[in-house]
Amino acid sequence: MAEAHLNLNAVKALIVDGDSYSVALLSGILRGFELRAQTVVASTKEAKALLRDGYFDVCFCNADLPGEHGTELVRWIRRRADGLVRFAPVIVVTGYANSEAVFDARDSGANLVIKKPVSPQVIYDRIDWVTRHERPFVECDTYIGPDRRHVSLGPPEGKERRVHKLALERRAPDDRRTIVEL
Amino acid sequence: MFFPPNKLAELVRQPGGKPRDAAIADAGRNIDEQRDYLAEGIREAVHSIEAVIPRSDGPAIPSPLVEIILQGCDRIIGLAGVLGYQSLEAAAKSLCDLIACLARSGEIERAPVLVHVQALQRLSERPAEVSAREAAVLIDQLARLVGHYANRA
Repeated sequence: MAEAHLNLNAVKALIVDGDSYSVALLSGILRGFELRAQTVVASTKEAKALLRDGYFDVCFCNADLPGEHGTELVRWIRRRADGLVRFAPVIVVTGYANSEAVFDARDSGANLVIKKPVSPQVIYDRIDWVTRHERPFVECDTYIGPDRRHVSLGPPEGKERRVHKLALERRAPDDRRTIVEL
Repeated sequence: MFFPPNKLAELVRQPGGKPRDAAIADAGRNIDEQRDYLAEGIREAVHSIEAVIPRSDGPAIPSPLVEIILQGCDRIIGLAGVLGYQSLEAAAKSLCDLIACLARSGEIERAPVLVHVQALQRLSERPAEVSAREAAVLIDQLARLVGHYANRA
């Protein structure tokens, strides 16, 4: 498979994180990818003020923010923000990721949830994934955001229940040749 | 359902930019350049967690102080793994697991938190001096402690 190749030179990113050390880490990683147009804010309040009339191509939001949880900001972006920014990819970064926290982030309308520690590989591959896998946008009473059903799990596990298959099992449980002939 | 415009996808597919391996290598160099600063962030987080213990009177830790502990753990988990301090990261995760268990029973007991804080101190003071075996034993003991409280909850 060909190596991924992303051009992040013209991308504008919003980083919402109240911890200066975490910001330094993420910002350093993104600079390594040549994503230099970074705006950093420490709280959801500042982020909302910027997003009311600004646009960002991608938003990295820490789940644990001072004052309000990061997923509340994601909900706000999906419901209240104007223009294209409503549809912009939002990646939630979380430190302690139990299943409840991950489901909450997913249900808030985030495109992806990344568990800390973030590594350059993970960040690069997730940006690549977000841009390669276009998902329809869902708007309903209980959820606004990218379609959460993005994993193809195939047919359900368990016993085959189709009538003709059951007939085959009854007639020739161990005889592969007979099954092929049928 | 509809497909909104994906401006990010358009931008990243334009000519130019860096191949994956080069981009990751450059990002790794940027992390290395900040190594001392990030290590300071870990020490600061451990100190903030340590400082909570004497501030909590009685057998339980009040919620505002628990918040401080969780914020400290969040930073440690975020930075320690990147800098290669896997045991420190595991200890911080264990402390989060413990707090989640204790929260279910309604009270954040001080004693098991203190044990975790001591482990964090041991692993963060001079990480290079803690042998892999000692770190593994410490993490195993923390896991047993969390298991005890998980069973109780």
